[in-house]
Amino acid sequence: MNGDRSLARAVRGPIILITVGVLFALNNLTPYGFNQTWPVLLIVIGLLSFLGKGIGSGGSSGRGESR
Amino acid sequence: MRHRSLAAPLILVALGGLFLWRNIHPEAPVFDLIATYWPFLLIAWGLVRLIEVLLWRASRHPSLTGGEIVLLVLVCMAGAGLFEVHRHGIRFTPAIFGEQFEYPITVQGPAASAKRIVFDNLRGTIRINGADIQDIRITGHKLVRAYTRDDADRTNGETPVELAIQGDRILVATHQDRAPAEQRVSDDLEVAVPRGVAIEAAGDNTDYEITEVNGGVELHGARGDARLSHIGGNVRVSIGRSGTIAADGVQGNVDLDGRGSDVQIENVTGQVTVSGAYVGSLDFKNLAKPLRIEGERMEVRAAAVPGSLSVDLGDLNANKVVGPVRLVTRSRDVHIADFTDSLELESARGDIEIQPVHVPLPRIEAHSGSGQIELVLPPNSAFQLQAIAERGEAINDFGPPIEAQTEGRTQSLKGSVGNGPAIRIVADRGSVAVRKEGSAPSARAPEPPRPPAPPKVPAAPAPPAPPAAPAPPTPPTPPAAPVNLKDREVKL
Repeated sequence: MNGDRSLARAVRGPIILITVGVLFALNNLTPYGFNQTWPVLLIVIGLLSFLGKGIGSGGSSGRGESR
Repeated sequence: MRHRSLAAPLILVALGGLFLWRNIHPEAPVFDLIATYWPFLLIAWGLVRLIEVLLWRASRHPSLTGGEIVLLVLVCMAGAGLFEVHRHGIRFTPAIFGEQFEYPITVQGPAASAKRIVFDNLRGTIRINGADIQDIRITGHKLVRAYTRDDADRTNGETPVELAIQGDRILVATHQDRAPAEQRVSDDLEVAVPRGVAIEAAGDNTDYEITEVNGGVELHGARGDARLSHIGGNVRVSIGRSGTIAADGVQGNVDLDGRGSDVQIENVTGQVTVSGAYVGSLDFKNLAKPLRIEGERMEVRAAAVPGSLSVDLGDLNANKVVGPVRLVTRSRDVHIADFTDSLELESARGDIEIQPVHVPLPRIEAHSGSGQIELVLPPNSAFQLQAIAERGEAINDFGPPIEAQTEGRTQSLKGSVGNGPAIRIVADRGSVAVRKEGSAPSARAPEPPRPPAPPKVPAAPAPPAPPAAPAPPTPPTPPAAPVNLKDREVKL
């Protein structure tokens, strides 16, 4: 359980990094500018911390919430 | 057990590879590619770290170290900056590469029946001089940037400067588009033409210098400067990004549109129209016909400018202008002196100084969003005044005929002196002042009379420098006690 939690935390940085990279790539190569797509970052960060909590607060409550 | 991340060595390898590529193929647009594709570095970096985290889940290193985050922020800033620069049309590749080879140019052709000479698609400089000749003579040199002399020789052969006669038109073609992509050709031409022709030129990045041509001049281009003098016809310049556009002595109209920095226009007998965005200083002198400037944040109209009008980022100065005058600016200090007929002035931010100098006065309507308005009138003026300082003080030098009112934070002046034109000045935030010419303009003396500064009296023997405007020889008028004291002091 502890391992899951630290894993979720360790994964956070790289995933945010990849998201930022994708958004910049969209900005440079497609008409979707960074000024339009930035909320994606909030969503990703939000989902990640949600995921971290879901795993971290133990299987029961996480599963209970999702059901 | 600690694992060192693979990201750093991988990035080092990638950087080394890129620079190696650039050094071996200097003509490859490496930096332009980086400007576009750098985000994939972030993605790759993120993937590497993600894989590491998943593989070495036992080890307890943080997902991203502090140093890494700093580095990433720097990369993002550099990449975004590079991309913006790239997007605005600046390319990194034309940096110095190869060697420059020079070839002389001499071309000559008959031009007795030519009315128009057209220069096509040129990079370089063109200097055109009208002369009393019957032909067109081109001298100058061509610069070819290439890796080897053989390459340059071949390119030189493919890009001759040629004259093509098409009816009453002569086309001067440089064939620069025939040069291979990794080479660069530019022509610097010195052209002598019969005085009567018109000139038309289009260029990618060309500087023009044209003198003594009696026909019209029409220049188009993406970049470049233009300096024209003694032109007999209409001038039309539309350059996408210019450093300096200067015209001196034009018998026809002058039309500028485009973007750029400085504009200097003098001695024009036709209309002058400037539209587009010029961010440097604009100077106009001695224009006999209407001037019209229409910028993104500015509008200037005048019926003629016998004196001068200059605009830069912070100031708009006009002196000796024939009205009706209309000035609209966003944030500049405006100073206008010696104008006729009427003035309509609107400034969102900045101080305004209006000095009509001559009687009878022109009609004046001025409005400032934030900034003071100072009106300096000759002492024998006749006018009907309405001045409002919405949030500021109203200062009056003309005394009783003008009534001051205070209402909350608004002070206003209203009244007539003699029978004259309407003057209406409104400052939303800032003071308004109606001054009499010759009185010290900086003295913000309100109602309570201030005793004259004592050290000034002993200094009387040496005549103190008179205020900027020559003291008008008028009989001292009774009102405005404090300023009058100063007035007399100066005259002693």
